[in-house]
Amino acid sequence: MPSSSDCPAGYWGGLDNLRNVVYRGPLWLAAGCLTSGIRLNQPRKAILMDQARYNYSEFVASPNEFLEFAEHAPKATMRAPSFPLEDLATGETVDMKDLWNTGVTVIEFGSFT
Amino acid sequence: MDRLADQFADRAVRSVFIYTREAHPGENYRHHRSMEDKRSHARAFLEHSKVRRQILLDDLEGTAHRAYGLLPNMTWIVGRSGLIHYKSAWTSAADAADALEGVLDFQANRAKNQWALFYSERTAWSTRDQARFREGLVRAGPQAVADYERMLKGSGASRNAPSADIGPRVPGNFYKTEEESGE
Repeated sequence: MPSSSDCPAGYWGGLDNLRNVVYRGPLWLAAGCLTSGIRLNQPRKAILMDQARYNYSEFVASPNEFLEFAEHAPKATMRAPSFPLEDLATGETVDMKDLWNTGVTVIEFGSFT
Repeated sequence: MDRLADQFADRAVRSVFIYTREAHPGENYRHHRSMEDKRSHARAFLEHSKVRRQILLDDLEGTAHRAYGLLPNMTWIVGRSGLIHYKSAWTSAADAADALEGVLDFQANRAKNQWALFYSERTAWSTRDQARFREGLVRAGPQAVADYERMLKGSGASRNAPSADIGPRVPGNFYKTEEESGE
């Protein structure tokens, strides 16, 4: 993976930072710079949707949901995002990072239905 | 997954269940309109399933669920300091146990063996208890059954015959033949 000093101007920082840059260097270097700029330890922002759309009243399968998970959810070797959750038993707030700060944590997501 | 939790509990492994939106809402367990709906359904789930792991509720907007990819029954393994070791589109206790053994082996021996961590992907398999899954849909209500059957008809998932290599086409299997992919 190239460092920022190896990269042509505008290429470090990923596609979002690439603006009107003409580059005639080796493609492998450009690709490395762009992917390094994606910041592999920072997953893409969460899928945006409001509360009503999230809690749908009728199940309709989305053909792209698994592709979204595979391509855009955080990946292995990245840092896990942490959010506050509510303990069903106690009602207390639990930060996800407090789970894994005490040891390896297995997290299953699911619901009754 | 409770058995997996028990199996690894004495090796400093913590196991939790994050309660999300209802995947197949029906007349008996409708979509959540409030946190109290969510708590109520989670308590019903606990009563029915007897899950022994800590149950944690995501917020009503599904903030954590959305950030982790929004699939209905994922499993993730996170190591100390928050490193993601494993993500799986579906929950399989056997697959998670296999991954967990690797994680614990790495943690116990990384200094001794000077191991380097690297990124990897693979396919995984699990058996699916369709009768039990259908029981869950029936429990949720007739709408949940009808929604699922409509999805099967629409996607053609139930019509795809298994092949020797890839088994039945299920959601999350991205494989396409040359013909299907137009190549």
